[in-house]
Amino acid sequence: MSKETIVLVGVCDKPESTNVAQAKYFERLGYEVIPINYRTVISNYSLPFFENLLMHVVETNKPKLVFFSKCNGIHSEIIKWCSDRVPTWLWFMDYTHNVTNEIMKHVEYATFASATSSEVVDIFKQVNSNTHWIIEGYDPEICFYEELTPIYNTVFIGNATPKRIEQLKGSDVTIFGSGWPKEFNANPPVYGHEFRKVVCQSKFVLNLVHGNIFSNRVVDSLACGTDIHSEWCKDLSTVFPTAYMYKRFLLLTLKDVKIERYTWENTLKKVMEIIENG
Amino acid sequence: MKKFYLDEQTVVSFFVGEIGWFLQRYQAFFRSLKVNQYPNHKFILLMNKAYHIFVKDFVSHTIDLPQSFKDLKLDQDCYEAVLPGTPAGGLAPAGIYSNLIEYARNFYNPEKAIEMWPPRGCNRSIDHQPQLFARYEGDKQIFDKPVITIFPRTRVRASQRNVPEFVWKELVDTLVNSFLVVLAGTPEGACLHDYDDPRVQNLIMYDGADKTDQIIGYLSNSVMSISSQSGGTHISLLSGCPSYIIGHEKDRHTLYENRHKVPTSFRYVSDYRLIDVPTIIQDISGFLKAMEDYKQQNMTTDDYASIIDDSKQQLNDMVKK
Repeated sequence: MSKETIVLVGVCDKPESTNVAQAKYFERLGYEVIPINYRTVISNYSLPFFENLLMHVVETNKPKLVFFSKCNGIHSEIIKWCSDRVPTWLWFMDYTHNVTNEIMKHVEYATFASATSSEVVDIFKQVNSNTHWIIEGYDPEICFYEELTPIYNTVFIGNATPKRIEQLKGSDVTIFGSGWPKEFNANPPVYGHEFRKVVCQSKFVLNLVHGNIFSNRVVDSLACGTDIHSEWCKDLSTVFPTAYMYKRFLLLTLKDVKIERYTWENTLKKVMEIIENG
Repeated sequence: MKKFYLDEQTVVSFFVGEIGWFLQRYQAFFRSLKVNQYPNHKFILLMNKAYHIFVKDFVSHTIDLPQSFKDLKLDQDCYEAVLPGTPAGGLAPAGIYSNLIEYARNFYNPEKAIEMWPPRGCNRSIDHQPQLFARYEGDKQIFDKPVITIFPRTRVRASQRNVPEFVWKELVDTLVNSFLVVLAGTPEGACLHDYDDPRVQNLIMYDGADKTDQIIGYLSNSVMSISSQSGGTHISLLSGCPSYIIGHEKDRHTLYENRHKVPTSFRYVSDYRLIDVPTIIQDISGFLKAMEDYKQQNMTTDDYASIIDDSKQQLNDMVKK
């Protein structure tokens, strides 16, 4: 019997993209994934061509789900067209400042929607009651504990923003990321196995937040077994209620959390359960 | 600081002429030498460093032109760097090129080098030599609106071939309503330096080291470029960007020097002052529609299947890593 298919409309042609891990674990759950790299298709061909391609794939495969990852720049009507035929999901990983009218229209037309920030979920629910709060998962084949000699005391992994630059000025935190001024002696960004190595060679990982949303690097770092010092964030203390709070910071340690709950496999299982239950 | 010096087998040259002649002739000939005759030699070019991106696939070292040469503020004519005001076909004054060669020899061992200097003036000899053309591509990106890259040529040399500045300005004023307009070119070779609008990405006065990379990046994401037989036309053609060209040499730009057979639309003018914005808008609308129709008419379900198969293969390769 042939496998059921999931059409993933996202960015599956860049190794650092979350959609690659999602596709990998949809396949582990037994589905055949049809990736449509919408940015590349639109850029190489055209927006109408992308729409024709998606309609052709949906009509010929009758997928179990069409999973749209953010998908800014496409017409919301194509999501509606898909939703009229098969279940669709609008997956969103940004904070409130990126919730545009276009995204709200996407959410309205999707059968289901989810966001990684609870505040965004509240906004989405105004137009789609089938919206769920689901944080990003981690890939246990990449993020796992590895006993390595500690090299760094505290690391911060992420790109520079004015807030982060101000916060880390003069600190002895080791930085990995892009856009940092010279005086920070930042190392290049790290992804995948390189990310794990850096985290496993660190005593602490520092997490700095911009509003009520936290980076997937928190879950990834915890899965690597390294303790996290994080700025306080409501979502983080809700997801990990055992986090120890001090001053305006949270301390998260692996022994206090059931991190396995957040593998991509479990996260996507939850997505499929929601679809099954309508 | 340790001085750069290459004490090994090298092939050396310099280039000080027009960008169009470099792109459509000299660099392609030089690449062919690397691939076909001297694969184990290191290739060195003395030229404007901003052009390195065009030869980075085979030139290991690009040496910037000396300040003393830049201070001469020479004009370019075909392969030649000439004094401003020199009639077409003129040559550089005596001594300028020999000084350049002496300067270049500071960076390699002449006894181990094959020194190959470019032709002089308007010379067609390389047209009959083997040439290999690279395709220049930037990363694909998504913008809120379709992108159009414009090269508004305004050169002192051959100024009769300038489309009037007011036409370029009116064209940009019109296009910004529907497109993200990118203005590209050099401060000496383009107008609209000060065109300032949040809907326009004006790179003309930008002088960062990545300027050419940025132009190629935008061309790779543009629905078309608009130019009038300038260096920008050649960058566009070699970047695979559909090119709308205003000019007087149709076959040269749409056939002979269209090395990658990119879609082109050519508006012939006998006098560059006679083009107007309604004509350009009508032309580019027709050009866009023709390209769209061609894509749709020539697309089959096999093409869809092939795109999906490629995406699946790419994904599997990444997941395995």
